[in-house]
Amino acid sequence: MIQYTVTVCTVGAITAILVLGVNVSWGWVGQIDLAYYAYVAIGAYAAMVLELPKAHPAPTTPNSYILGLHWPFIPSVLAATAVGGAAALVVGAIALRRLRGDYIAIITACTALMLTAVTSVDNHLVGGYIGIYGLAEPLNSTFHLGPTGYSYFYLGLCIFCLLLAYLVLERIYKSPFGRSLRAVRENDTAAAAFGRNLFWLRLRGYALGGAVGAFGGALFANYLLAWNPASWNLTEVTLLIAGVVVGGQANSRGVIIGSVLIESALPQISQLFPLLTSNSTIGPSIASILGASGIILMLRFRPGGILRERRAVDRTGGPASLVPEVPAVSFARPRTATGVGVGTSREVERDA
Amino acid sequence: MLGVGFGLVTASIVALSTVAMSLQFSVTRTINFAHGELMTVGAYAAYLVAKSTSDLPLQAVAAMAAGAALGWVLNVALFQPFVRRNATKLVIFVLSVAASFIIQNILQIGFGGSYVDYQAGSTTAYNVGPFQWTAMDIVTMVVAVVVLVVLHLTIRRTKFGKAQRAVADDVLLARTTGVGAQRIIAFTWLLDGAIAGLAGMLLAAQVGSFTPTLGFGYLLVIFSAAIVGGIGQMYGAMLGALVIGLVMEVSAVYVNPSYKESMAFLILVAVLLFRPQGIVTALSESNAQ
Repeated sequence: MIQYTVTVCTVGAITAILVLGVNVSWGWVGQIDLAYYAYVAIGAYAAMVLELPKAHPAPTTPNSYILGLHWPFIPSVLAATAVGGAAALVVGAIALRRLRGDYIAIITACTALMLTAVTSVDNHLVGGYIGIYGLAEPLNSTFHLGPTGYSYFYLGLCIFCLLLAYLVLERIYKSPFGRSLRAVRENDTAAAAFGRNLFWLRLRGYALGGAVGAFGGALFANYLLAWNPASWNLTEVTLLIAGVVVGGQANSRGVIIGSVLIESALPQISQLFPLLTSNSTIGPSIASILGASGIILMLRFRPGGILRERRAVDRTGGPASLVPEVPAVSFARPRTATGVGVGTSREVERDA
Repeated sequence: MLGVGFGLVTASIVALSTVAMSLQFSVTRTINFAHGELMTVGAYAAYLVAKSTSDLPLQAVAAMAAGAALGWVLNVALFQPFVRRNATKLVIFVLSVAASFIIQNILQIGFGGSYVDYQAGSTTAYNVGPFQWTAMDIVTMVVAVVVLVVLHLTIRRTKFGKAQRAVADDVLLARTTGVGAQRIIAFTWLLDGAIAGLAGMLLAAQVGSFTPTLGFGYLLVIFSAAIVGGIGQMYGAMLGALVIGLVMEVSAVYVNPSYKESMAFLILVAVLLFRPQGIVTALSESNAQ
């Protein structure tokens, strides 16, 4: 039972990192990135091909993978994060150039599906349908822990990484870059008028989200010790978006709560359902239905999520500005021509 | 040439579904990510009816009814409350993603995740000119052409079509001139669902066996066709479907068939980069100059 709890907590911590990444693109930048899970997969694959030794395909399973550099754990994870960020930079450079929100969602979804097709079909890139497996438990060659001790250790590592990701992202959120991003989200015309380069800001935000995803993916692959194309698809992205919407867009603490609720608690609750019936697929389906319903209900009744985005405070002493009625991602179009928020422009101005 | 033959069949199915989506988009201006599920419920409805009767028209009616019902429910229960509250397009898009997910999982609970077999029409192949088609292939193409022609006449010649075009142009103006915009929108969803449901049944008949992700797997292909043709443009959608269908099937002859969809997406990416307004608008623009 304790072992089971440790497993749930480890996956929960990794998922929370992934949700933090989704929060960057959806909460901060205000864009739906359906390719997000592709960056998670890129991070996972990158970490594995860096850590594993050279591939020796057996005649029976002629699948192999590229690289095989046999790097240590920490540099591999860092490199994987960088690779994920770079991939997002490339995709973002195409998708964000001149497209609107819903088109971006479609083109990112297409990108993710193309990547799935390539990784599944090509047997020599990252092992095709079978994927990559056989990774040794990271860092255990130095610590020599038993299976139980190791699982505690990895849980601790994941929680540490979650904390690290949280602190770094909070720092960026409060930085001039983070503020400009939110200004672009709230009112891109005003932000552009104050000299912000919209494309470059959005692109950097998008790449940051991809890098966080790849970081989480690298940790995930090192936990599972195997990865294949079946481990990632649009379903996962939907649940991550649900975590962000339920928890509270653009509020890191909120989205962590959301991810725990949607990704960790719901599947546990849904495990009660198969007891009622003989069909074992019902549990996950119910969890998915509840998760997706969470998106709809939250958007309808509490668009800001459980923990709303904190109000921007003008530290120069002026009257408290912005966001009061507009929740995190502005969900209502400005009703009048005066919808240009005074606070928004002031916030941008301060960065300049 | 075989590839072109298959391409025409695929294009017919894609065209039906894409035109339905474009029609819905032009009137409501929202992108419906749950469009694939309209097809899927159509396929399952046809599958259920096929258990008791092999009568194809009856199965088609069931598919259309199921799709229409789902389209209507989506509009009334999900989209309208948010549209009334002035939600942004992005929020409505996210809603439709959630809806797509919920419907898939409900079907998963109802029918299980494994493939169900659906056989419609005979599988005897005929040689027609350079092409090789089964009877069902020919039925599919004929049905697609008939439905598209009827739809064209509805939109161009009837009062309803006129009202629909008015709403598509400008909801407020249409409302001011006495068009019941709500009713037109509701009816558009019914029409969208019915045509998509029919396309779902034809698709299921093509692939022979399917799962609750049937329509979802095809969704992005349909988006590709719609965007390539110029989203919201009915005639562009037909052209887009033809391009996408042919590219998918002809490319399958030369490269690994698993890349079929990827080929469609490549075309989409290229169009979005160089002609974001789609082919058809591009054509009419160049005519005007």
